Amino acid sequence: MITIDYRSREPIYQQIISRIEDLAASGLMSADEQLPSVRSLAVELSINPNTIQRAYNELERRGIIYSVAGKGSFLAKPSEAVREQKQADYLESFREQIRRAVSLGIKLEVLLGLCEKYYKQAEGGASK
Amino acid sequence: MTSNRSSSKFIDFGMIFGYVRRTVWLPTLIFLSLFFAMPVALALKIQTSVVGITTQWNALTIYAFEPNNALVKFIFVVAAIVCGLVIFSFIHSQKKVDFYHSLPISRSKLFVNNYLAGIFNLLLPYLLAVILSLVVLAGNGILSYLDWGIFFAGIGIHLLGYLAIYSFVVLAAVITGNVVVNFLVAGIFLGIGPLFIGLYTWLMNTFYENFYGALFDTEKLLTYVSPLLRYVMIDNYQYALDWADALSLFVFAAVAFVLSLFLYKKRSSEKAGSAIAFKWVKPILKYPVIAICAVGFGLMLYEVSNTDEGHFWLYFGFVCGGVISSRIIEIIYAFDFKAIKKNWVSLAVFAVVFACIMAVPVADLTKYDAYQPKAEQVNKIELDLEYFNKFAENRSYNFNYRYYNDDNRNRLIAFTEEADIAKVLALTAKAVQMTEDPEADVYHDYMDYNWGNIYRGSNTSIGVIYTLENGNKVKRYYSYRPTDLLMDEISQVVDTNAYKTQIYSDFNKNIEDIVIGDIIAFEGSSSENNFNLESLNLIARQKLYNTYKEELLALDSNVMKTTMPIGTVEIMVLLSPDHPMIKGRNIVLEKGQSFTYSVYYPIYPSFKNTLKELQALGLDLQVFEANAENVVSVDITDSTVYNEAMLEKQKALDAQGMAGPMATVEDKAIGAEVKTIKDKAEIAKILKESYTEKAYEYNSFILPNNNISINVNYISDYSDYGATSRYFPVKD
Amino acid sequence: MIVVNGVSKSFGDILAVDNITLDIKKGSVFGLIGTNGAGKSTLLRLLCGILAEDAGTVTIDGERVFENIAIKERCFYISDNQYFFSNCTPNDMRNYYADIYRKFDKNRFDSLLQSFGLNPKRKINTFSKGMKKQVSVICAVSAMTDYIFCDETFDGLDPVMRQAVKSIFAGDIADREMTPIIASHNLRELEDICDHIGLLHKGGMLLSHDLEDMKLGIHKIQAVFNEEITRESFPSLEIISLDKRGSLYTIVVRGQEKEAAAALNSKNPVFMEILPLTLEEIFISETEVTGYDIKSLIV
Repeated sequence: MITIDYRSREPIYQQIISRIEDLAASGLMSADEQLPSVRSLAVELSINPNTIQRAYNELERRGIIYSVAGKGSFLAKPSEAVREQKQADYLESFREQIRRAVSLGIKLEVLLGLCEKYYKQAEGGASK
Repeated sequence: MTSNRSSSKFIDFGMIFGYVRRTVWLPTLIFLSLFFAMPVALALKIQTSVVGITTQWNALTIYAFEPNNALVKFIFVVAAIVCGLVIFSFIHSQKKVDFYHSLPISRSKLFVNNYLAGIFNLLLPYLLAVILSLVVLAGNGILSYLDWGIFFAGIGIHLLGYLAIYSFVVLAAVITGNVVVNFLVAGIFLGIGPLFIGLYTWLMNTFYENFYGALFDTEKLLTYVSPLLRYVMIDNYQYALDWADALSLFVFAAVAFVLSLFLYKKRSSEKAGSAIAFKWVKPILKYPVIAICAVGFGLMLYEVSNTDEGHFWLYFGFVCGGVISSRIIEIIYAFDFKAIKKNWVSLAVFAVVFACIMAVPVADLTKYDAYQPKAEQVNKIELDLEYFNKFAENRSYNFNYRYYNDDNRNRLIAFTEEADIAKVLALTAKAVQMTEDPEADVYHDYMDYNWGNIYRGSNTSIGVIYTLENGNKVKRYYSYRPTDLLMDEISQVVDTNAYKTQIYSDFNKNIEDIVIGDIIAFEGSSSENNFNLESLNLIARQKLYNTYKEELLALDSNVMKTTMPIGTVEIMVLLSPDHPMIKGRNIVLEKGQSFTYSVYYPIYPSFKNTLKELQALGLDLQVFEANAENVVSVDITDSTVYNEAMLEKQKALDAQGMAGPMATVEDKAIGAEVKTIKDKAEIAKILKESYTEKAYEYNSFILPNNNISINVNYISDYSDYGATSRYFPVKD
Repeated sequence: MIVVNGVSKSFGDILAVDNITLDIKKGSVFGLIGTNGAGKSTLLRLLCGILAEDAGTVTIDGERVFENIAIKERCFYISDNQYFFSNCTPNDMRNYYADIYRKFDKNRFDSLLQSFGLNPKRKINTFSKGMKKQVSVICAVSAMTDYIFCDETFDGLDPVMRQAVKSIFAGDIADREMTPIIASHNLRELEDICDHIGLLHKGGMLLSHDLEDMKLGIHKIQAVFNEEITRESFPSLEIISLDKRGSLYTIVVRGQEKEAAAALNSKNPVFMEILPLTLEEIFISETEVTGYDIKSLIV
């Protein structure tokens, strides 16, 4: 479930955090579901367990996961604060996208039209 | 799963046998060679030997094991060198060093276990070969003759020899970083001592006429400076263990082992692959080798060149030898040809030191040859008058009807009395004087290359050791001084009591151990001239002995200068079973058997009492006189003219620095004058005025005239008249 | 923990390691990079006790490593040029190591060998170079030591093997805090697995940083502005480099991403993209600052 792109410039640590956050936000993983252990994930992905440990620590700090001593790490209930944060982050990057669109010369009407179209498609897909 | 084995033990047999297993070709090769050298050779020897007396079985059974076995020694020497090189080759390879030194094994443990592996590499095949040899003996039914003492002694010596040489090869391995340099340095360790000694004696002999080389005891000294020679030169005639050999080999091995271990722990791993692993070792190895090369090369060129041309070739050789060897060493040290430019300054410094040291013999700074101490300085003098009274030094050993002659015992006669010392000093002073006088020694001998004869004038070589008041010993040797020129001084010395009691040393034995054997006259046939006293009763013989002894000790050089001896007395001395000659031969004495040696001393006509007693015992004194009865003719060959002409020729050639003489046709035409005499009266006269060859051997004061040889022809063809050659005495 | 304190080592006239100080914590993965001759191998050899330091100390848990058997038992060294006994098989090596390393796990060795598809009874000198490395790695991890020193071990393994070995390492690091110290001159290799990177150049340590910290603390931003932009345009930022190609600016900034983005946004860029830097780029940037022209050093 958790994969990383070795060729990407993005640090692995970041990728893991992003991936788990995405899993949480999209609902593919449910609250209180156990995450893979640091060890097994490290072995599966052939990466340094410390990196994974770090990612988990950061996720815990952000409140996205919680750990139980002796048992492992689990996905936390999505909190509103987290959600809002994620939304804000997303909107920021959205702003970037709009900016690019403007510089490429894409008309607002085109954007708005596609926006609606894509939103409906994603919504439908997500609810399946 | 845990494995606890190796960490706990220091000497780890598992590890050792692992090493042996991994280079198993080595013990296999060793076993193959030992197999042929020991059990196979032994079996062959047994097959081809003749069934004989006990002693032969003793010698035979010990063959494969004895310390003298040269074949085994050779194999062990090669094995020691190869094992040393192979076992420790790992520290010469960066790859292997990284491997071994990263492991959790201490350096000491690594070293010791490898060292032991090298020993086991030999021990296992050797033991197997020993067992097989014992089986061969048992199979032939002669195992019971084996002397177990020498058996263990032999095995011990061989193993110690191997250990000593191997340890030095290992030391060389630790000091170097490359197998070739390892081999060279091992060669230096094993050989530099003997080389030094060899060059030293060569140097001394070249520049000092009066160097006492013989007493240098080179052979013995060589065994102290090289474990290789110590082991290889073991040739105990006695076949018995010499504890000195065992101990010295052990010391060599121990010193090398301790040094190797110590240095290995200090050695930097990264030196693998370089020539020398320790910086400070470089000069220690370098300068002695350079010195040896310089001296050796210099002496070689000097020897080959015409030495009258001054010392040019000597210096040239010094420089060439020194420079070339130093450049080669620098190149080897750096593994780089460009290193030929290195270290010129230190070489120059060394050259200065070398020159200063060499100046001593070359320029004779110490006036070595002219040395003559003052009487007050001298505490004791030991003198060896070589070729003089030689008869007193010959012994004939008698074992079970086998005779063994020991002709080469150089005896040093010691003088401590002031008066005696003064007399000896007079002699040596004159000998020293003759050093500078080329006329004095050379021309008494010359060789006729065409007739193949050596006309020997009479020479005496004088060896002397001065023990000075301050405890120092100074040794000199005056070679081939003409006896006739020194006759006065020699007489003085020879007449001293000290000389007589020492030269006739056999007189000092206990009376129970001494007995007179035969009386042998010089004249007459061998059947006539031998008078055997063994059947006489002991008391009579002992009385005779005492009488003779007294008269011989009273014999003066004045008598010897004017009268020739007429015969010899055989003195037989009993050997105790502890005597090394018997002990080592492992001989079992049969009942009533005894072992003796015999010496032969002269009888002079002046020994009136002795002759009287002999006459009383039934000896006809006429036996001592020359008998012309059975003589048919006498041939006299007079080569005086020819010899003197050749002598002059040689003098001339020598002055030009050439060898010679080469007799020309004209020379040969001079030839020799031959006269045949048949007149009885004349024959009798000649016989009376001449003496047998043998007679001259017993009197060093009267010399035979070698220019005129007298050949006596007897009636019978089956003549047992041994002394057919006679000579006139040289008269002043 | 490995502590290297002011360590120097010379070979004759050559100063191979020059006054290096660094720490390696247990359970971390330390990458040692530099070109050939930079001193990587020498440093590794100093760490595992093959060489003795000329100056300074190399200690593990406070004890000096050299000739210290107890400490060396916790270390395993994989050379870049491995030595195997002539004509030996993997089983022979297994048995040899098992006698020397107390905790050697023969079963693990056997099963690893099998999963790598290597024949335990075949002579190692018939193996390819890569296979020989695999054998070395298997020996190393089977020895169950705390520290493994790898000299260019990954260079020369095929990508599948590389992943496999990384997985094995990952498991051991997680299970028992195994601490690999990996020397390489391939930054790409080290990037994924190391926590900590040390860069050696001519015997000296130029940099020694936690990798993630490095990456999080430096960013490359590509942007197009309407106005002329210079370093002085952003006084609050620590700008490492600023390049302009056409209208595209490439700015490398040290600091937090958010601050950098905010600062740049203040100039209203037409276009802006923040990129994480690869290890290579980080080093080039960092060392340009220190004055070394590192472009020539990195593979």
